[in-house]
Amino acid sequence: MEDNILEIINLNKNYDKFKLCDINITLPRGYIMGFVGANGAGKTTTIKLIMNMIRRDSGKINVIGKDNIKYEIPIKNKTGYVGEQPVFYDDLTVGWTANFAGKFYSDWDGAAFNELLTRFGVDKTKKIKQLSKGMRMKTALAIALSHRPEFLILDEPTSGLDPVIRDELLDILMEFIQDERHGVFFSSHITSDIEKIADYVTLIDNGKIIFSEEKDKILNDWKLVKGDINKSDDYRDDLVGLKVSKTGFSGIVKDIDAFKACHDMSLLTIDKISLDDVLLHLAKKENQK
Amino acid sequence: MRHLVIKDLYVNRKYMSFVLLFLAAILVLKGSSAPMVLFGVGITSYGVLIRSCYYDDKDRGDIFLRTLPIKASTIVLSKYILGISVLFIVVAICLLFAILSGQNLDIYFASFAFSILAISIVYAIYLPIFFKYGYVKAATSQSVLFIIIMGASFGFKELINITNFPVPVNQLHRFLTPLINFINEISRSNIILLLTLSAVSLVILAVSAKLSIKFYDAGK
Amino acid sequence: MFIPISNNNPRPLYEQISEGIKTKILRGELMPGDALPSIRQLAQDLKTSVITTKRAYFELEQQKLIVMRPGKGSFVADYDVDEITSLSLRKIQQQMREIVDEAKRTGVLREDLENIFYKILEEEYCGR
Repeated sequence: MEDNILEIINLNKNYDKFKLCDINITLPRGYIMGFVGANGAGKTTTIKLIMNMIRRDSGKINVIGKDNIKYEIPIKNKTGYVGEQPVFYDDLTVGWTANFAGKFYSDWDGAAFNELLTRFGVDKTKKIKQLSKGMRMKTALAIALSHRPEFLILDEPTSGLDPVIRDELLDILMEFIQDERHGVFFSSHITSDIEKIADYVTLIDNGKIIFSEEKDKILNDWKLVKGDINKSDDYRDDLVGLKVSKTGFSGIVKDIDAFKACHDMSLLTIDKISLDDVLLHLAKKENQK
Repeated sequence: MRHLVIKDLYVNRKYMSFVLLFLAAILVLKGSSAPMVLFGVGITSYGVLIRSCYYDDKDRGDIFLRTLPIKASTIVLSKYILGISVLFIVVAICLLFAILSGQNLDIYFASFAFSILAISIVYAIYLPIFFKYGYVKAATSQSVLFIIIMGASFGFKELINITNFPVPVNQLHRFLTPLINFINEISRSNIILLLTLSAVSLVILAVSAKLSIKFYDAGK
Repeated sequence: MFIPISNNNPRPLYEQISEGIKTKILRGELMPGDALPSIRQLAQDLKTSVITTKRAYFELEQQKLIVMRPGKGSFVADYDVDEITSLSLRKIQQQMREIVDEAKRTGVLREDLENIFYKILEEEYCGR
């Protein structure tokens, strides 16, 4: 138990027009999990439930080995959070905000915070409202990292940011994970970020988990199969998430050897798969019908 | 808790200093009178509270707070403590002016007593609405509420003045007598009045706080 | 430690990494007993996932090229040169067989195949 930094068991949350259904996710310590899905698939809702910012209807969430409601305060004391649009009080300076936040953490390290700000190039004396989106994210990240957390939760931290900042973030996360007691849970619809550094990938679609697996297993084992349009029906049963366009079709094969055994491969091309392909084929199925 | 209150005061620092200066200017220029004090105390403390709620809503500071290791109940209670703190600050300032200008403090105690009660009732109604429905919806009811409560408290104060007159003998009389006797009793000394109404205010606020925490928890 | 890896390479990343390290070992850039970067450090350096580098190291351990000592790190093993050589010869033989099969299937002439082979040899071993 202790060795999972995050454990979600049969989590449910109902809204009028949307529901999270039986979410199960396990992330061992020492690893990064990428949480992918289309906008509105339920990523932010799940993260808010983990942070106990909203109440779950049923199920269980353990963070750092403890129930996230019962042990909310000690868990938050050891958790760093960066939201999609980091929010603070606009009229306060970066320094004041951090100082304020630091008052609530038992292990706040002001020196570490200052170092991070210098590294990120954020001016401590600037007001939050004067910061660009990237600077805000960096400020949130600096605060999230300066109280010696064990667990980092990031909700779309890279959306709307330029590639340079995104790359810096990946560096920071890799640095954080050098301690094998740590863990990172990080949602993004930019799959390339996750494709690089995540150890595990969880795909959520329409409030349901499609899969939660080792990333390498997916990228190495699954293949993208493409072929001519006329033949698409022959493969309908054996391809996952078959997509048909004007010129051809494509789909995912989870066991290429079994597939090869029962189909003539000379008319098909087999490609290495990317997370984007996975997302395109497995998410938003309702649009294809 | 302390840091949350300080944060709210700091976020409102410009507004606070402006209103306090304004209050001071009136006190100095016009000389203080009881209704003026009542009005000043009311508008200032109410204003700070509303504005701090506004900032939590506009900047979504609330979300920020929820990611910090702070209990939900602490976040809720801090708003009440903020309200009471501001009330104390403003009352203290008015008192200081009264002392400096060598006025009779007694009439101030009566004004303070009713200000505190009135403001507490406003807080007690406003905050649960805020924690349940958010700033925007609470805002629609706030102005109306403020006027009614302030008006009622003036009326209440007048009620005390007229209780010396013989009240017509009717059904109302029998109902009102104990209340009037009670008011007569406590208003004999303005200090007792102040203490009694402060205690009543605290009870009202405590009940409201309990409600707010419940709403805040359920609204998640 | 620099190891050439590419997303465009059809081979899995962990294989690219283990091959990269293997090359360094066989070329003598890394000597028996030399410490390798930790799994996590290498993941950070290459910006890959920890699981990927972990798997790469496991592969190398299975090939008896490195040893992993829990709590101490990973080191280049005292490998048996003959064993490694015969292992790679066997692998090369297999790959060549696949190439010849492919050539036969697609009707490439033996002569052309030989020419290609010598041309590549010329390019790769030129000046060595």
